[in-house]
Amino acid sequence: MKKKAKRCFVLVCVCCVGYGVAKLLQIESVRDKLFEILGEDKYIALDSTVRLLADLLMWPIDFVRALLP
Amino acid sequence: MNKQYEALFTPFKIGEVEIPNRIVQCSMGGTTLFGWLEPSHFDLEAADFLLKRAKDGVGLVLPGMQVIRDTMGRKWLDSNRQMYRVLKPYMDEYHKTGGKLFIQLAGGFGRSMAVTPWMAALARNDLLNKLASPIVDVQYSCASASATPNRWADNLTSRPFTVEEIQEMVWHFGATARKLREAGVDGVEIHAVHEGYNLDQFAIANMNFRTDQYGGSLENRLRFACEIAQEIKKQAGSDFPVSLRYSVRSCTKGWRKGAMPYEEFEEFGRDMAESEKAVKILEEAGYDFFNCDNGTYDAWYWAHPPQYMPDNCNLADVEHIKQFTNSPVACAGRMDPVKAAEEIAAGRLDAVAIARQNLVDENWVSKIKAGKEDTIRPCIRCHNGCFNFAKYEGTENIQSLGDSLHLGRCALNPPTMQHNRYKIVPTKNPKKVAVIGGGIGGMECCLVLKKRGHNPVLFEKTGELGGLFLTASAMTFKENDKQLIDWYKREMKEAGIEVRLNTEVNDLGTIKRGFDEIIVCTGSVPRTMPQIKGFDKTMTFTELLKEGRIADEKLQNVVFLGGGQSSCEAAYDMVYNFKKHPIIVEYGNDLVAAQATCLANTSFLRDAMEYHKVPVYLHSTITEIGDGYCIIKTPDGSFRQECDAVVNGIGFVPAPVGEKAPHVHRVGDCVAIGNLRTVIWRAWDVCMRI
Repeated sequence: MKKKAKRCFVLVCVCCVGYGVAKLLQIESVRDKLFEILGEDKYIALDSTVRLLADLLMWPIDFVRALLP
Repeated sequence: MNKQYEALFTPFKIGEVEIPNRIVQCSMGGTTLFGWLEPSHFDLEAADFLLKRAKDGVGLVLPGMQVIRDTMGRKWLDSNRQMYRVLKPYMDEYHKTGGKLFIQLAGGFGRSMAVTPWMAALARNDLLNKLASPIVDVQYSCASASATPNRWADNLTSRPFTVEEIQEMVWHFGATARKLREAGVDGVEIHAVHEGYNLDQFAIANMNFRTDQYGGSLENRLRFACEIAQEIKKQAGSDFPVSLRYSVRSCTKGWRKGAMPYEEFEEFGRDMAESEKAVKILEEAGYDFFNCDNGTYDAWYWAHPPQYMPDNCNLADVEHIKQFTNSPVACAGRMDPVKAAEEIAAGRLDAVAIARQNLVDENWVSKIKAGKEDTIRPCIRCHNGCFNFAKYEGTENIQSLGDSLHLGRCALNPPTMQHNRYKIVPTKNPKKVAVIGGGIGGMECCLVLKKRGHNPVLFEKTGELGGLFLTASAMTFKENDKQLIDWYKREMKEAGIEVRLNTEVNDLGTIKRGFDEIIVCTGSVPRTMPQIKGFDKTMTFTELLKEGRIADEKLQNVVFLGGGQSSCEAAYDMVYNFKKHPIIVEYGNDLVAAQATCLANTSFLRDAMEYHKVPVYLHSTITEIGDGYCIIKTPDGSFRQECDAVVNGIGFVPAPVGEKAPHVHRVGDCVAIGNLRTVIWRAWDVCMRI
């Protein structure tokens, strides 16, 4: 039971961190800073990867949503 | 407004619904209000795009095709109640524009399903498909009237729909239409007897071998489409308008074989004689509007015409079919608004259906109304952002996953269908930016920077703006490309951007002091293969096209080393417009064997080469080039080919100036060889962050 609670806690933490990072990436000044630090090639690659992951993540979310009454 | 457009801005009726003008935005995959490949949901990006189109003045907007049962996810479109709850307030907002919106509903793709390699693997294996079927049932997505070969994947055959499945689908068309009407949608369009999609496969005799009530006679083959219209009228009301997306002729010679626009051929699909009868049967069944063009997936360039097709390519056929129905008729396919207005005024047509121009310029209707036609950014019909399903010999659909999920974007206009990703945010820290290279990439950088409040200065080594695109646009049929260059030049001038022509920058150090940032857009140079004896005798595309050697009388027999898009386009121009004799030597297993170019474009080039009997040597190369000859090495051996020139069509390599450094950025082909989409989108990616 304790192990299960721990796993749940870790999952919630990962989701929160993911949500926080996603929100942070929506701020223009943060994106500008990332562009400056990473350079255009790495920044564009990172941006595209994050967007594709977000698309793929939305697929099961939409799937479950469509099942709801 | 220019008088020649007046007829476009008169109202007309579909059933009892009045459409404020004659401009119809055709459905484009990806601009779907309820999601494209994803399980059905209310798509905010598409909703934003469609509302903007209505605000611009489009009379009737048709969002992208909506399969009645999710392409993947297997949910019926009428099952997601939340989606319709969100739709209602959206429609209230939409109607404030005065425009109308019909949802296009489809019965799936059938054999035209653009399966990717993993989908083909599932579809070929009954057990794997069964295991995956609660989430994705590819065999169902590919199911058709009869067992017919898939358009994309070899050795993949559609399974026939059962009668129960057909009738289940018919009921859901009705149920979905009822819910759409309740949510405020003005009508529906059935993507039925059109483009070789599933319902069209029922209608075409050579694709329907059924012996039940859905096969055999024309009436039986159209029964599915007719029952859908009747069920919609029954469930949603007899006054709810139902439009039909309709291909007048299939223009198809056989499986995976289309017909050239000027070709005499035996029709494999629906010919005009059958079409004349079909349109009457469909009208009697309850269809109130015929939104027409031509083609099938096997002759895709009729429904999605690239630059090689003539303007108004479907107009004559559509006007002919109008004589056989009392319902209004629209025509799609490279429609010129001036010609459309003329035909509408003469009563030969009721509306013009335009698709891709809506992606390229979000204000084109307002611009026409304001008499500013010359400021409209032209569509070059490349399909690189909106519709880049790609295939060559032996492959399935090789489109990237990101593109599969996001059709309906635009190569030339990045904010289209991605308005949160690409947007102009005014800068708080204006900078002086040197942009080196006056091609499309350089000009796009300047325009984005200027809109954001920066001060760009463009350096171009030649005396003209356009870069390598001047060569690409030099071909006879590339009128839209030429218009695009003119558009850029005009925009640069209007924006007041400083341009220094005939100024070559070889060393970034020379300009570094005067500028805060430098963007290198120096493009590419032709790839060389010095291991081929006599390679230095090859001709470049610039010499052939831009410098006009293509018209040289002495140049009759030309060998293209490489069978990519540029070679095929130049060879087509040469054989069709200049009546000369090109020969193509390609190392790979097919012409235009690349991921980025749409099958509508590439299949035209492949079919054209076959029709014009252009000799094509695949799996081959050139081993020696001499004066008046070359040696071609094929799998069957080498031979000497007499020729007047060998054109270097083996591609390009990036040619950046200077080294990578802080405050020095690179855009376009000088990073990696791509197309206008990669150039323009990267220009935005970089310039939005400066």
